[in-house]
Amino acid sequence: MVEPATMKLEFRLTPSAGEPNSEVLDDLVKLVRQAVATAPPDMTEIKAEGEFRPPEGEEEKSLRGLESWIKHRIEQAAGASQKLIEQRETISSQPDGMEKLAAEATRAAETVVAAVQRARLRGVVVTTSGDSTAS
Amino acid sequence: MIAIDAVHDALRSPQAWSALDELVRTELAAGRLTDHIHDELAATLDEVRAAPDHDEDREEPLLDTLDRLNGFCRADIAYQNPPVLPTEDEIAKLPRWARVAFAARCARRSLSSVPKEFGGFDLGLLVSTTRAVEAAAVSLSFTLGEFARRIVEVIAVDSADLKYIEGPTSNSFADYRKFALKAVVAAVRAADSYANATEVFTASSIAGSDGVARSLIRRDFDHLARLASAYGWTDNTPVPPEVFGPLWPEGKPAGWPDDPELPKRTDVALEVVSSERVSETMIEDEVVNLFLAMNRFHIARTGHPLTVEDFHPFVAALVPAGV
Repeated sequence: MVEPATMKLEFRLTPSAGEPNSEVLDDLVKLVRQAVATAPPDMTEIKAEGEFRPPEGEEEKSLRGLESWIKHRIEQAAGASQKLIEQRETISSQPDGMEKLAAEATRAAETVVAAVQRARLRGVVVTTSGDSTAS
Repeated sequence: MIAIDAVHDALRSPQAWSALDELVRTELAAGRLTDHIHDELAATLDEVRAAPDHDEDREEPLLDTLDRLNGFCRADIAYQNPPVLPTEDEIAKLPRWARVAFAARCARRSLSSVPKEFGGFDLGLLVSTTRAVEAAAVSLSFTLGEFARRIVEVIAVDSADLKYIEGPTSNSFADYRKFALKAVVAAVRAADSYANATEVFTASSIAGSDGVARSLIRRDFDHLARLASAYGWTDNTPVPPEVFGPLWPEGKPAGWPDDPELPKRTDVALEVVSSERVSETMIEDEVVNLFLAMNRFHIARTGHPLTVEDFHPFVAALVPAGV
């Protein structure tokens, strides 16, 4: 089954502190691509063919509302981020800290793949810009 | 081999889950594979059920342990295979192009260990050749193209014996050159031999010539085998290199060189599309969930959080404006 895409969001994720780490950012891109490549093959396709345009009038109001809610919820998560940073600092000071951090990064990588595939199951297709596949 | 008495004792223990866990971990530590342990434990089920003091609650820990062995559980509690290379028999069970993709992945791993200062030799040629093998697993055809021909010529001159499998033993140009050549030639031979399991095994043995690489190759193989089984891949299923994900999701081991192909990135640009049936609340939930997952990964690797920038919504041009 194929459904036409009616809406598209574009955004960028950037490190909020420190120098951008190309290797880690590239790994995030690869994780999104892995999620797309390993998604169950029988999912409904959402085709993003054809042109998209900026929203106007009521639709703009509605989509700006969506943007505000997403940003608001991400800001609310800043506390959780801080907790993760503190946990990381604590772990890195332990004798087996490097192994624990590696294990946490591996689990977190699995979570990224799962998040992309969960979204896909609910009809929300995530790709990295430049990857034109929306199916 | 797990004795039936040991299973009975574990199930009668007040901490049955822990007792079974100990049994399984002992087997894994001895180098046994999860599949084999699963089959052995599953074969005890009838005897466990036939025991005079059996009740259904008692078999729960055994069923849970079987689920953890075959991966029907959360990823973080699933048992992982020990860091042993896949055998030829295991490799032979993969569909044809999955075997080729696996050989190419092994070559990638070998190339990733070549120090930057040696990157000048024929590394570009080796990377291109590996890419040709990866592309073969997508297009389902492989011909010994120009790159591969040159590689085979180089190896012929080098007269390296592929059966002599050893990783770089010194930090020398000659050692890494030979290692990288061998790894890529093995992948080429694997693709060129209708994915003969012996050639693929050679590719994995070269790449897995040290302990760290061995555990990662086992992880790559198990991942591929699970996908092939879950999605019913056949000998005609294309297998793109993306199915493996990053080479080092946990971060590169200390001292390993940079990826020569690493693009310069300062951000991750994402596109999210949805159809009419998806509500804005669902989109919001999924975008936030995705952000949290990516943020967690970024913090785990760098210690710094991510932020969202340049948020641009669009609607399909076919939707009338203002609706």
